[in-house]
Amino acid sequence: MIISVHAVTAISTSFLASAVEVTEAYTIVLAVGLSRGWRSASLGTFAALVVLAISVIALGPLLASVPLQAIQGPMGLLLLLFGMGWLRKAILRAGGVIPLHDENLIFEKQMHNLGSATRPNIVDAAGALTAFQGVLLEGLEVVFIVIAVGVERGMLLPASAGALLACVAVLSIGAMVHKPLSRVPENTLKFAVGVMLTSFGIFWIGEALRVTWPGGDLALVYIAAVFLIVGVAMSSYLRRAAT
Amino acid sequence: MSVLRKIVCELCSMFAGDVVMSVLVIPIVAGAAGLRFLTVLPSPLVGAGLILGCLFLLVVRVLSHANLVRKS
Repeated sequence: MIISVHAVTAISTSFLASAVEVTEAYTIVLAVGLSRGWRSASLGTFAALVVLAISVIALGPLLASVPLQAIQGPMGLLLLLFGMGWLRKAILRAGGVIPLHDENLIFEKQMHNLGSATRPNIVDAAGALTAFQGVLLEGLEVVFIVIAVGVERGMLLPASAGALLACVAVLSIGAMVHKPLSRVPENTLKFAVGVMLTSFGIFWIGEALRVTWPGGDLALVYIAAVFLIVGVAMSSYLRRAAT
Repeated sequence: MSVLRKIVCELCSMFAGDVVMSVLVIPIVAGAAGLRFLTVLPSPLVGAGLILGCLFLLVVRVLSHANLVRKS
């Protein structure tokens, strides 16, 4: 039971976070593919994926070899900062204070910036670099989340599997529809991930401070529930205040 | 060079998208550590304080941003 709470939260967090980031990266790669040719898009994407895979392979086991007590505090703080940042933005977006992430608009902008290639069969440096940057920058967040939620209790493999599953799911849908995935509820996913990462962060900081959480690992669930309830209440308050 | 700069910017925005909030998290965590190791408070109370402190900070930062947007 205790292991499964951790495993389920680690896998679901990395799955949801990856789904958001892969959707954003897919939009950029799609724009590069359609404007500069698929060779450039594939080359840039592949190079970025290699860099990201090396980061996980190198950093994951390295962090796992550090004593848990030493890593819980700093990692918990980073997770808390990252999670609260996502949650804050998601509440503001859900409350209508800042605009929602619009994949169609981003796609249009990318297409406009890239222009069209004169010879789409040749690898185009600008296109490959755009795809490389897009996948690398979006992937960095996934790498951090996978390592951060997976470094404790041997969860690196399940967390990586969650992320990989999200990649396969999003890219499969993308390959079928061949247009920006604007119907993916990105803000709802970000809201959920923000809640989960904040919960992980507080839980780990507590563990580093030797706090005895009532219910043990189930604290992850009730901390997340508290932040979810407050987050939903705040976004609904902001919506009402705007009208 | 531009890629490296973008990576650094991305890393900064990951952890300090709202700089004020990120900075204010530190005293909350430090306060919880102080309560835990310098007082005889039961540890679950320190945990509750940590949760409430972060929650309060989140609410304040969201409302502050919303007010700022409305005023502008």
